[in-house]
Amino acid sequence: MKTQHTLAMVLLSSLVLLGGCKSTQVSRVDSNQEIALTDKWNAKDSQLVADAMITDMLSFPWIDDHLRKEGNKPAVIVQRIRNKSHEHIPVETFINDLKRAILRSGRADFVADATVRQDVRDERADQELNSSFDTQNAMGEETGADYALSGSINSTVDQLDGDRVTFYQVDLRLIDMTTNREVWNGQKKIQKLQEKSRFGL
Amino acid sequence: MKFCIQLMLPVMLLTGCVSTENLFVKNPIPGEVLAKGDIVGAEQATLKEYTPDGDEKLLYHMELGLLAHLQGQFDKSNEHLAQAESIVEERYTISVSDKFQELMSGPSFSPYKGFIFEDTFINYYKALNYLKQAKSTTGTEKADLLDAAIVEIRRMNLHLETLVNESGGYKAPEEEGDAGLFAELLGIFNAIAGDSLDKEGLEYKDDAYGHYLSGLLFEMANDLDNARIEYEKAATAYENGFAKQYGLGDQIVQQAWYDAIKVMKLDGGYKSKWTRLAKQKLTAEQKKSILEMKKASPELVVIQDLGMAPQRDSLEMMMTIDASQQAIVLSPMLAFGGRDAAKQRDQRTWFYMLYADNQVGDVVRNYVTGDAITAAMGFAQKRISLPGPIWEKAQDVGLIAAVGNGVRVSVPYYPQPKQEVAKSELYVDGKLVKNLTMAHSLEQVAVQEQMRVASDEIIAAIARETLKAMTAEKASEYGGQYGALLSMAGKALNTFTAGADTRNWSTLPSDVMFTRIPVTAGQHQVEVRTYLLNGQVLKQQTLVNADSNQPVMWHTRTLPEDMSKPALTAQATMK
Repeated sequence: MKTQHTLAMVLLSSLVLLGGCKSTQVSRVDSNQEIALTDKWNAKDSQLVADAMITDMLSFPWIDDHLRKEGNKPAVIVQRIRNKSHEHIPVETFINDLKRAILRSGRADFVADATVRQDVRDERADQELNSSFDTQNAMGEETGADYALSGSINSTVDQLDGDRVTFYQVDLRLIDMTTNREVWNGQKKIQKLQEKSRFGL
Repeated sequence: MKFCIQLMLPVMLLTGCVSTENLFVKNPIPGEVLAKGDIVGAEQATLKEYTPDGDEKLLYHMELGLLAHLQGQFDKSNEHLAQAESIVEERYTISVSDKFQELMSGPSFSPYKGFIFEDTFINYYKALNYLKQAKSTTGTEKADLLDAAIVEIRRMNLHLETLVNESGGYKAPEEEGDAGLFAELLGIFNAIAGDSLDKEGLEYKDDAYGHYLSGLLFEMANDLDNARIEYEKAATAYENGFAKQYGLGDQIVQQAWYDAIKVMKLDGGYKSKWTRLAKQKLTAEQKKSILEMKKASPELVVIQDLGMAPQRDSLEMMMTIDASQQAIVLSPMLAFGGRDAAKQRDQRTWFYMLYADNQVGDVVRNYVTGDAITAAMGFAQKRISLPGPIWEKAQDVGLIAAVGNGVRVSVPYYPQPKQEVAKSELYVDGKLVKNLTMAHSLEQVAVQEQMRVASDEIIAAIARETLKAMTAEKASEYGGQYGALLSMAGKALNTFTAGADTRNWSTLPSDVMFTRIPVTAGQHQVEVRTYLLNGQVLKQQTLVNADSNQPVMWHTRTLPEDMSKPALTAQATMK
């Protein structure tokens, strides 16, 4: 009985000690490996959305239709992806993956968005004043976008006690800027279940 | 001897975590410094008092988050508040080691968990941060920041949904049906049985203001469907009890209904509903305004976070044994008179209304609404009878001997709320337009929540201190020649660690004042004048651009820099 009591006291003391001591360790891991510490939107979700959207976007006939009709690669501009979810989601992570994959395929181009465009225009204006004539880039030679990419992220959350189900839906659409026709619509759904225990160390 | 060492080890470890400075010198809490108008000083007080990974890490991030917000450092504020939100999320899981720590020392030596109403204000300030950032930007960046503010509103709504699921929320009397009648009967029988405290009536069940702010932000984002839903939730919660429970008056109820009905009309498709609601809920003037409204028009919304949240203090009690009556007796150890006369009165009243053997139900209402004379009459002891077999059991396990000549028990309490502000007025372009109305009272919420959990806290405190006393008593048995010394040391340590948990988010405001009025498009000089009961008038001004057919919001914090000073006629201009 006495031994049990001693053991219990030592165990409890150790628990307190463990609770008080915490060391920090950092290691490098594969960026494709999922490390889900919580049910929040993470790098893996972003990657899953990018993978699904890339395959889907390239499988639709809009690129071939455009090539047949116009004889050149279509140019796309990324407009707003509205975050209507309950989390702050950095949309650029999967949009940039999407852009890279499409550019790498060589089948379509992207044109800069309004902010970047203005910066480039400022740079060109500066070139006119300060760069040599041979190296200046002319104004008025920009490529106009043929298609606009926009979309939204929505989410729902259902929770009871320690359990929480989070559902995300990412919708992207590509609009023909001449006709307003929607030439592609991509969708990715992600659902997560988080279970929390009532007691822990 | 071994036992004593084993026993003392965790306690010594725990007390070792507290700096000597904290033990012997009471640093001012951030709220006390902020109350003097010193935001930077309050930040320094936070850094001095709390650490990002200690027991007060939640307070560390909440205090710094709000202080950064007040300094216009919105990114920094959001970083701290996001950290605070993550800590709150961990709260569901009860840490066994933390509980053990609490049991062997006291609640003030365990991690601060926060109050549910404090969680609401984490998202509230994050939303305001994004909204204020959006003000100084344009184009896509502005739109993204407005979306980010709405994200925070959605997060707040998730938190409120959980709260309503757990508490039942505020229901209309007709919705309650038999359950409502049952609750009434229960109230009567409780009063007869001597339990005059209506715990359900004190519970923070939902946050009508949180819903109202959600509606407002959705309306600002032109999402009228969600705005309608949130305004309706706000109006029903205010009407079904939130306004009455926290003494907010009727104006905010009517305002919430007006806005709900307004967005129903603007959104279209709800004609029969809004017509019916307008007849039922609105004043003649509001009805006229709704009927004349053809389309959305610019509106000015003013939100004034006013004053400082109340700070918890400690109510000490001595637990003794009355062997002749076979009872445990609790007697309050009140603050000394003189300068502490008000404190003594508050402690006595708190003990009287929550712990003493009384049946006077109205004391609670008198206390929170400021009728001190009625509330402060008399005090008594709390006697817990241990009839027959329980007394024998208590003797067998050593409880009676351990309590011996007395054991200190401590619980938190709130000093009586003090009325310091007479009114707040809104001036637009130099003309008095409207008085601000109270939309939320965090002061009332805090005090009522503390009252609600008071009986649970004292039971936990009695059990904890009894266990500690019994353990110290046992030290004398196992300690051999050092037994008496160890027992004494144990008792001294118990007395030291018996302090109540008086921590809370100290930089929050005490009240939220609110108004909204139609304005013409263009720039306006807006001023809020706060009239203090001591005669001072605090003025805060800003320029507001009403350039769209949507509400434009000005949110300000009025600090009580001069609220506690004696009556003067001087005017103070707020920063």
